[in-house]
Amino acid sequence: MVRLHSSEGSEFEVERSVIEKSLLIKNMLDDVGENDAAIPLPNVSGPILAKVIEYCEHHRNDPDVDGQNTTKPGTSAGASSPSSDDIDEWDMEFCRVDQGTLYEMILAANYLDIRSMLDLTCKTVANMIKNKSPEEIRRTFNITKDFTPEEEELVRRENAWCEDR
Amino acid sequence: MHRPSPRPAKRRRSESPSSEHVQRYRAEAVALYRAQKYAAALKRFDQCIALAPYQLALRDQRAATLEKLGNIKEASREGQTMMAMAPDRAIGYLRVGKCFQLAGRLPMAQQVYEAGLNAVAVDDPWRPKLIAVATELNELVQTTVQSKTSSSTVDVTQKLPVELQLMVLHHLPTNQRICCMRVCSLWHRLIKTTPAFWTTVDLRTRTLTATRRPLHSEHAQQAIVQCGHRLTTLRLPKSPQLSSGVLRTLAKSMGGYGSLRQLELTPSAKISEGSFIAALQAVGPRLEELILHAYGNWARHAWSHCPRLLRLEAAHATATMLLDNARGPSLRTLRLVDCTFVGDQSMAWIAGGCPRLQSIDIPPLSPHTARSIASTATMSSTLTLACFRSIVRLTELTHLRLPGIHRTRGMTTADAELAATIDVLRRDEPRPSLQMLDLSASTALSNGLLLEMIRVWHPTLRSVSLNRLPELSDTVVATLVASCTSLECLHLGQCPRITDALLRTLSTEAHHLRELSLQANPNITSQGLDALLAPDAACHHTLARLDLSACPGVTSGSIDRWIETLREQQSSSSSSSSRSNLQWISLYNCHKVSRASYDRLRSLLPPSTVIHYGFSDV
Repeated sequence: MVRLHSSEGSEFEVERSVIEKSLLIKNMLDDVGENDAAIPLPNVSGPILAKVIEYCEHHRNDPDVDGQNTTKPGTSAGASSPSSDDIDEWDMEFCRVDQGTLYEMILAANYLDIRSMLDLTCKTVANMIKNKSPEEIRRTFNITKDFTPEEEELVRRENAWCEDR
Repeated sequence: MHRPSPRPAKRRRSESPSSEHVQRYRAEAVALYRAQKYAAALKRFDQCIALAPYQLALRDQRAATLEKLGNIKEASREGQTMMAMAPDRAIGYLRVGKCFQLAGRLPMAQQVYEAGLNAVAVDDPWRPKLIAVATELNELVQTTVQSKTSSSTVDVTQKLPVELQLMVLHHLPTNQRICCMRVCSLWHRLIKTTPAFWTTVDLRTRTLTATRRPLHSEHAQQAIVQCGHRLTTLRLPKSPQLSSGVLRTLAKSMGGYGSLRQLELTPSAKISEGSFIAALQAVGPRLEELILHAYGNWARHAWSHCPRLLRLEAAHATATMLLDNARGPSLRTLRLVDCTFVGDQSMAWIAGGCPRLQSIDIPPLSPHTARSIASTATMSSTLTLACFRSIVRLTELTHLRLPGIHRTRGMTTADAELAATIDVLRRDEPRPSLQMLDLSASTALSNGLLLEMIRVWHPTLRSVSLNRLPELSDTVVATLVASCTSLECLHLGQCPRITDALLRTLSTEAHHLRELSLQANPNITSQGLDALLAPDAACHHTLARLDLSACPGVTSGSIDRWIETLREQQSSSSSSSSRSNLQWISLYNCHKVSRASYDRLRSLLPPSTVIHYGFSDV
C-alpha cells in the first residue's frame, strides 16, 4: 500500500500497482525503495486526488499504451487529426464534472504524469469545443474577446475557408 | 498612460566638449522618432547614451523607442537601470510598470507602482502621473477579478498553462482548430505558430457544415496559402466550384521546399490537366500518396514526377494509357477503381515498373460504369492466365484482387496457357506470399489450376474470394480449408457446384473462419447449415459474419433448429467462451424463411447482432 497526502493534508491509501499508472509516483517509489512514509502531493487537492485514484483503479488492468495515442506530427499513419470520438462510456461518465474540476483533473494528470488520463481529459475539453462557433466557444469557456473589431474582421477573412457559410 | 514621446531637452551647462554632440544627436533622434523611424532613432539614442550615460530622460526616450520596436524586455531593462540610477524619481517606475502592463503581468506592474509611490520624492514632476496610473491599474484589476469570480465557469485560457491548452487544441480537427483562432488573441497566436497544426488540410468533411455548400476554389486556395510549406496532407472534396487555380496555388506555395506527402482530389472539367502537371512538378519529389477520384489517367504523370510514391489510387482510368511505362520504384499499393482495358500487358507493365508492390486491387467495374460502357466484356478486362507469369515476379505482393481472368479464344491455346501457368507456379523461385486473393468471376480458373495455386500459397492465405466461379467444386474448397490453417474469410457467392458436403467439411476443419459468404448458392440446404451452425462445429466460436442471402435451400426449418440450439446454450448458461460469436447474418431474399422464424431469431440474438431480412421487389 502507498499513502498519499493531498494539498490540504488528507491522507489516501492505495495499492501500489494501481497508483503506478502515475509515472511521477512510480519513479518516486522506484527511487525511494521500501519505505512507508506518505508521499506529499502539494499540487493536488483531496477531491481531485480521489478522482485520480478512481481513474487508476478502473484502468488498472489496461495495457500500457505508451505512445500509441500520441500522434506524432509528421507521421503519415493517421492522416486525420487524432480522433476524440473514441471515448468509452465509463470514461465519459467519469469526465462529467464541472469545468473547474475538469481543469483541475487535467492539471493533476499532467503533474502526476498519467498519459491516458491526460489524453482523456483533454479530449473531453476538445469535445466541448467541437462544432461551436467562436462566439459559442467564448461563452462556453468564459473567454474574453480581446480582438478589436478590425482585428476580428482580419482574422475572420484570413480563415474564411474553414467555414461553411 | 503617460506619453512616451521625448520632452524637449533641458538646457544644461556644457560640462564636457561632447555635450554639443549629445545635443545634436538627440535632436536627430527625436526627429527620427517623430517620423516613426524607430530603428534609426534607437541607434542615435545609443550614441547619445554612450556620451552621456547618466541622463535619465535620454534613457527614457531610448526605452520608449524600444517599446515601439516591440522589444519590451529590453525596454524594461532600461527602465530598471533608471530606477537603480535614481530611486527617488518617478520616471523609471513609470517605464518599468508600463512594460509589465504591456506584457500582461498586471500584478508585477502593481508592485512596481506601489514601490514607486513609497520611494519617489513629493515634488517630482512625474509623481501625479504615477499616482494616476497606479490608481487606474488597481481599478482595472479589481473589476476583472470581480467579473471572473462572478461567473460560474472558469476561463480555460487563464486556468491551464499554455502547453496544456495546446494539448486540448491538438485533439481538434484542423478546421475546427482554425475556427478557434477567432476566439481570442492567445489562441490565435498559439495556433498560428504551432507547425504541427498546419500539416493537414482535409476539406472533405468540414465540421461546421450547416448547409453543405460545395467548396469554393478561393477558400481552398486560402487554406493552401495559409499552411504554406508546412502542409503535408491535402484532401479536397468533390466540388464543381474547384478550378485549376487551386492546383496552381499549390504549385506556387510548395515550389521547391514543400513537404506535401498526401494529395487527394476529384478532378472535374474545371480543372485542367496542365495545372495538375504543374502541381505534381512542385510536390512530386516528396509525394507518397496520390488519390484521384476521377480522370484516373492523369495519374500517369506520377510515374515521371513522383519517385517516392507509396500509394496510388485512381478511378476511371484506362489501363492501356495509365500503366504504359509505369515506373514506381517504391510503390506499395495500387488501387484502380472502374478501370477499363485491364489486360495481360497491363500486368506486365506493373510487374516490370513497380517491383515492390504489396497490394494490387483492381475490382470489377461497378454496375453503373459497366452499363455506361457499351461492350463490357472487352473493355472491362482482357486478362488471361498469362498475367500470372507477370504477377509471380512481384515477390512482396500480399493482396491481390483482379477483375476476372478469362479464356482466350480457341481451346488449344487455353490448354497450353494453363499448362504454362501451372509450370510458372511450380517453379521453385521466390514467390509472393499472398494473404488476400480475390479472383472472382474468372472463367478461366479450372479446378486443377486452383489446386495448384492453393499448393503454392496455402501457408499465408487469410482471405479468399472465389465468387461467381461456375466450375468451382467442393473438393477444391475442402483442400483449401484443410491446407490453409489461418483462413479467416471465405467468399463463395454464386458458385452453383458448392453443396452441403463443403459445409460439413467446414464444420470440422475451419477453426479460424470469421466470415463466410454463400450468397445465391442453389445447392445449399438445411442439412449443411445444421452442421455448420451446430455447437460442436469447428468455427462455432469464431464465425462472425454469415451471408446466406438468396439461398433458396435455406428454410424456416433450419433456422428454427438453430434457434433451438441457441436456446439450449442460453439456458444451460455455459461459459461465454462456448457461445456463438455471430455479429452479422444475412437472410435477404431467402424465400423459404418465414417472418415468424426471423422474429424468433431476432428476439434470441443479442440486439447488437445485425440480421438482414426481407425480399427485393423483383
